Amino acid sequence: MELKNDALRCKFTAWMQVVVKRAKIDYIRSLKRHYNEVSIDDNQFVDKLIAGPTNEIETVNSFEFENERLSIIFKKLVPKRQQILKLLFIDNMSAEEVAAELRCSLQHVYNLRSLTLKELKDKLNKGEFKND
Amino acid sequence: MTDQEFKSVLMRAISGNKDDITKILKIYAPLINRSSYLYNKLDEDLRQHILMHIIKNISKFKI
Repeated sequence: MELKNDALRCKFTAWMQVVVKRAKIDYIRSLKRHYNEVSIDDNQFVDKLIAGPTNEIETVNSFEFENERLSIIFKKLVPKRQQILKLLFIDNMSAEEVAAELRCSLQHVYNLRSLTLKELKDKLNKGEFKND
Repeated sequence: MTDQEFKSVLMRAISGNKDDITKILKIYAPLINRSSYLYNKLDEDLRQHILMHIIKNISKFKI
């Protein structure tokens, strides 16, 4: 009888673990649904990103908070990667023009662009935006 | 709590007894609290969501 009840406790514990895990996944999904996506093509956004966090007292909403995080991560990027993003998204230069400016191949510009955007996204998702 | 007591509490919780659901939630509080961390920080909303999920689904548990 004891063994049977003990088995019941184990079964219920396993069930609880599954329910808790599902609830957590459900919660994270619902958060992602409400997540504001920000286009990197938005010049105003990139300007703010380069300028970094300001000392102005503003009403801080989640979007501004996200900009601040991105700005911190952006400053941690390798200078060459920062330069490529600036040329592409602020100066509105084409990939060919950037390649000519930096005297490197077109493919190199495309590779660095995708790697840098991926790096920004990964670091933002991992929460690596704390100031040192 | 002995296994026999646990079984009776669980059965009453499944049938919807609020006091026994509270007891079950207290027993499993460490599991719930451990799972309520998001980005290394306790997320109270997540904790509430998990509690609601358990309360809503506990009646579906088959003994």
